[in-house]
Amino acid sequence: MAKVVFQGNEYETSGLSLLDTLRSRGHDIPSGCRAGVCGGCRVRVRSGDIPPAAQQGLDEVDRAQGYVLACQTLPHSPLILDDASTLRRFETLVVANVALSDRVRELRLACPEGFAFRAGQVVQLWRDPATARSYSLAALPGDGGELRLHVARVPGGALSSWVFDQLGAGDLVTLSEAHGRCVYRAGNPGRGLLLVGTGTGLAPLQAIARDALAQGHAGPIHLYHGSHDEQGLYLRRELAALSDQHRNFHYLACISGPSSQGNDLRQGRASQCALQDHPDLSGWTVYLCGNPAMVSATRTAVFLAGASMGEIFADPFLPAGSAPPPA
Amino acid sequence: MGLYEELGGAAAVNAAVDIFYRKVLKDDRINRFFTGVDMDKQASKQKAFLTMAFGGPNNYTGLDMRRGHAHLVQQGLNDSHFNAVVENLGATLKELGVADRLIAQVAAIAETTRKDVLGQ
Repeated sequence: MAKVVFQGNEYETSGLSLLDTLRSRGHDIPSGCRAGVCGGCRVRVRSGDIPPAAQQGLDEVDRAQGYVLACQTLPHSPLILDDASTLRRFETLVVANVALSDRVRELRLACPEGFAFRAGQVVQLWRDPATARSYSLAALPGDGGELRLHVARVPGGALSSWVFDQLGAGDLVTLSEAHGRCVYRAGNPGRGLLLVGTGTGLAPLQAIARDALAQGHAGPIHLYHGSHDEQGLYLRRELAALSDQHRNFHYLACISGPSSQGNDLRQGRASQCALQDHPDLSGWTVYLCGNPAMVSATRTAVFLAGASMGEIFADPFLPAGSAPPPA
Repeated sequence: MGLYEELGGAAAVNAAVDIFYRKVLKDDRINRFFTGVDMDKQASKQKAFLTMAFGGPNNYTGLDMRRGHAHLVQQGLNDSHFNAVVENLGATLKELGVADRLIAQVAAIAETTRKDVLGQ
C-alpha cells in the first residue's frame, strides 16, 4: 500500500501491483505474462525505495537505472516513476561548437555538477521551453570533463539551425539528465560487438566502442558507418587511428550511393556490408543507431543471423514530432 | 517436480525464445502474422507464450487470449496456422535436446489454448 506518482498523477496502490494500479487508471502499460518473465511491463523508477522482487531477472544496467517490472512491483513506500517530463534539467555552458564536417557539428558542453551518464545514452537539449530534441552523448565520462553532442544539419530544423547558426562558446544551454539502454555492458569481454549506424548515429556508437575498449573489451569490435555519399561520413581519421591502436577494433565506412574508385570506402549500405561480413551473429551483441528504417530492418536481419533478441540494442533517430521510443 | 522446473524454468524460456521466434519468422505459413510488430513487444509476447506453454507462471485468461488474437483471426488466422506454431515449438525443443515426453506435455498445454486463440 503506497503512493505512486506517474505523469503528474498520484495514485494509491491499495495492495495492487504497480502494473494493475496503472492499468486500472487507464494507462496502457504493456504486459505479456503478469508473471515477471517477459519484460513487457518494464518501467523506470526515478525515486523511491525499490523492492528487490521488482527487479528480478533484470540486468545490471537496467537495475542501475532504476528499471522495474511493474507486474512484480508491490511498493511499500512512495515511488515516483519516470517519464520524459520528469527528467531532471541542468544548465551548462557551451565550451565549443566544432564543425566535424559540413553537415555535423560537435557541441561541447561543460559537464554539470552531479551529471552522471554512460557512453551511448541520450539527453534532451532545449532551445527554448517549447523546443527540445534528443541527442546521443558522444563522449565518455572523463573525456576532459565535457559532454559532446553530434548535431546534423536538418533543413528547416529548429534545433539544428540554432546550433549551426547561433550557438557559440559561452552560451548557456539547458539539457536533461542522461537516459537510455544503448550502452556497453561489461561482463562478457570476449564477445563480438557489431555496431551499425547512419548519419549522427555514429555519435553513440563510437562512444560505446571506445567505452568497451576502455573497459578492456578483448573480443572483436566492428563499427560500420554508412552514408549515401562521402560528405555524410565524419571522424574517419580518428576512427582509422583507433583501429591502428587497437587490434580488435575495426572501422568500416560505407557509401550507399555512387562513389569514385580508389578509396578505402565500402560500396553498399552499412547494414548490408555488416551482414555480408558477419553472416553468423550468434553470441554477438549488436548496436544499431540512426535512420529508423535502417534500424528496424537491420534488427530483424541481425536476429535472423543469430543474434539473440536480448543482445540487440536499437536507438532509432526519430524525426521531431514522432512519439518518443519507450524508455 | 513440475514440467516448468523439469524444463529449466526461466532459463529454458530464454534459451528457447530466440530459436522459436527465428523459426516463426522464417516460416512462410505464418510469418505474415508477425511482421510489422515491434521487436521488443514481440520478444515479450513470445516469452509470455513460452512460459505458459512450459507450464510456468501465467496470469492470462482465455478472454485475454481471445481479445489478443481477434485482429489476427480477422486476417485469416486458422487451425493450420495454430498447428504450424505448435510444430515450430516442438522443433525448437527438439533442437534444445528436450525429451519427447516433455515435448508432448508442452504441446498438450499449447493445445488447450486453441479455441481461445482462434476465437472458436
